[in-house]
Amino acid sequence: MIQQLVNLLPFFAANEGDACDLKSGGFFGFPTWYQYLNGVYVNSDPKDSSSSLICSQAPQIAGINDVWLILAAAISILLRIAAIAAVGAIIYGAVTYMTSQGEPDKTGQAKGTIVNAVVGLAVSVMAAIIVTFIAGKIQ
Amino acid sequence: MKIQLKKFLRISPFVLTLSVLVALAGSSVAHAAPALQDNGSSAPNANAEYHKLCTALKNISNGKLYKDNCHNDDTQSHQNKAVKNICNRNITRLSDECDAYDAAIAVAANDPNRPHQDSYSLGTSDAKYSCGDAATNQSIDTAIDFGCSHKGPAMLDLAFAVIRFLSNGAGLIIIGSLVWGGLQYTLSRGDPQSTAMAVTRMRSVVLALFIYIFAYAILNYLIPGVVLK
Repeated sequence: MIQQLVNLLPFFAANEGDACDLKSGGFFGFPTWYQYLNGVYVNSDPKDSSSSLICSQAPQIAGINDVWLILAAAISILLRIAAIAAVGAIIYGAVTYMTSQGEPDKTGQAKGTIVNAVVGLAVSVMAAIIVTFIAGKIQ
Repeated sequence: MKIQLKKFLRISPFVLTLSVLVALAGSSVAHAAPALQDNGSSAPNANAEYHKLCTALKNISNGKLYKDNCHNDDTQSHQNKAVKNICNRNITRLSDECDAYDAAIAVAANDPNRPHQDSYSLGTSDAKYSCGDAATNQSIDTAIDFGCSHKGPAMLDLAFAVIRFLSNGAGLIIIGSLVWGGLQYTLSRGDPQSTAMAVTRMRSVVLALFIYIFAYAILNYLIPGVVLK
């Protein structure tokens, strides 16, 4: 059942090109969760009815350490979500700034929104750099 | 309700990791299962058809095979008796052959000269992965690839492999958590309370990073180059 589920996912993920081609996956510009997996199961006979595969190829999880490759792909998806959220937050802050009508209370909150959005984006983008920096300093 | 949600969020990474592991194991077992059936090729006279016939013969008590193979209808006339006899004889012969086949498989299974098969393995004789040193007969077969180094006793090798696995992932989890903290900070909208939550998360993440680094260093100091290499 899990195998079938895994085979189904690229089918949903791919909205452009061949649904069975794992390289053309992607959804709304998001990368695919299997982008770092290096093993691709290829069914030698696509017309083999005994196979449960929908497509002739599917991402293959070769070992226990491939869990982290999936996690890395999830982080890269999360980074894009963070960037989109930052853009949204900045727009929200700008709109509140515009409609604050000079009230210091609302203006301050709008400024806080924009600053927080930028700081949060910076932290998200630099997370990998921060971690490797600290790890490099210690060791 | 909020406390429940918090508790759930706290345990969810563990549940997620556990379920991923179970899924991995399940999928690899499911992957290995079809290969198991044609594994009888090590035994003499073995092929899939023969195996199928023999299993069918074992279900002979309900008479299904008899009817399928002999097309015998009991309500019909005198000729059927002769047909029945022939069929009975054939079935007896076939079941004798099947017994011989089973015996041959049993002999093959107990053959000491057979290629690597361990007494610890749980029936998956075609397991692709193993842990421990195969040369000193200390290895166990595993259904999924733990990334064992094939040195020393099996359980130690497996434990080191699991430690290595967790150690590989710690950095990634910390980075992911920091990214999540940044996202929380972004979406806090200048609200001091949610900003404080995001800051708390990021502080915990950095603390976790330090703990991990020191654990790594201590482990490398105690057992240099064995566990993490």
